[in-house]
Amino acid sequence: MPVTPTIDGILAAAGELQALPDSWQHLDAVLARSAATTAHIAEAIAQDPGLSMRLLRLANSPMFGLSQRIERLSQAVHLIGTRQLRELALAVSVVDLVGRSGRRDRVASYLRHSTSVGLCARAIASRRREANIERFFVAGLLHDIGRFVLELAEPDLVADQQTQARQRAVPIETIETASLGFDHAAIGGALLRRWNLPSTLCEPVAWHHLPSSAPSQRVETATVHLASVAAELLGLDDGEAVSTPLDQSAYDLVGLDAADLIGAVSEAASALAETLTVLVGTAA
Amino acid sequence: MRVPANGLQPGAILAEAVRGPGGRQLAVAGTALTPQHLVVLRAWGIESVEIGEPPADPDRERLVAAQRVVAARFRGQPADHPAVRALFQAAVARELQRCP
Repeated sequence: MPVTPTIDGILAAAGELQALPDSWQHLDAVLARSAATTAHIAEAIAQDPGLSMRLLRLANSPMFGLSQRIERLSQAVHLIGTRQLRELALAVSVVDLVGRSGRRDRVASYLRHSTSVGLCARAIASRRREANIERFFVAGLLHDIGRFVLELAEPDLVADQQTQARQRAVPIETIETASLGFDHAAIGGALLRRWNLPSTLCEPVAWHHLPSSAPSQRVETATVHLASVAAELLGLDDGEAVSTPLDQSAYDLVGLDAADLIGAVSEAASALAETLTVLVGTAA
Repeated sequence: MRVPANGLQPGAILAEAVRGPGGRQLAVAGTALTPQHLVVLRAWGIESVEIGEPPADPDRERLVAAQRVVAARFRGQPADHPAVRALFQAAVARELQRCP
């Protein structure tokens, strides 16, 4: 009889994804020093030329809609802000890790789904006038990392789960919980805790199917839940899977009316292709 | 198929609209005739009507096809929720754009 995988076992099979890259950890350490100047931060980012180039392209993409062109990292630090730049550097680092870890076709569809939810979460947070909306982008971008990791560790099991979900027309997490005792959200939450990321990122990832169960980061979790449901229902990822049902209390907590929600997801939809090009380096 | 009014059965589908002597429309194309319709047609002295499938409306068919594709994704959602209704309309519009 096959042994049922555990979360630790699945994470142990995640290869490079088990730890964030050194370049991001170095940048994070520099940013944590309160005395870090713009020059220090720009210098820390510049040590990774791939990261620098993509951060600049991201800063000049429609996601920001800045009126002036950003040519230098120090300008980006000034205009976008240190905390937001840290979130974007995290996003780029994770996309790199994912890109190196899986089959090309799986990576492409995973990143399309993740980026669409990241942009929706960011657009919803922007309409709520949240501070540092980039953390919502990153939370959305990472929300399904557990699904990617589960597929790396147990490809046959995941293929079987997807078939079952399709046949029974239920969300994939229903099948995962029935067969494993936990779902991909729990795997993602455990991975992010292993990465030492804050609860503002861990909780939205771990609880995006059950937003009311988030212990402390209720708004972040509700936003990522709403973003993932809206992106899936709208078909932004071109997927046909049955989505998690919309959670009424999460919707009420986010507090956007239907027209505002449609406005936010439409904004995300129009920025998707170019954001993907910048993040992944290929056309969507 | 042209069918005399006295040979009509309830449930028959009108292939084209039926108009009274003054040009007033009594029933639109696609109507499934009820016993009341038969009484009205007789009362207006209609002698025969065209029965069969109404001509295909390509726009209508595209819309129905798009709604069917999108509805599959909406299984299990609270259908009467205003946000879900708005997302359904937006998703159908997107699907129509995607498959012109």
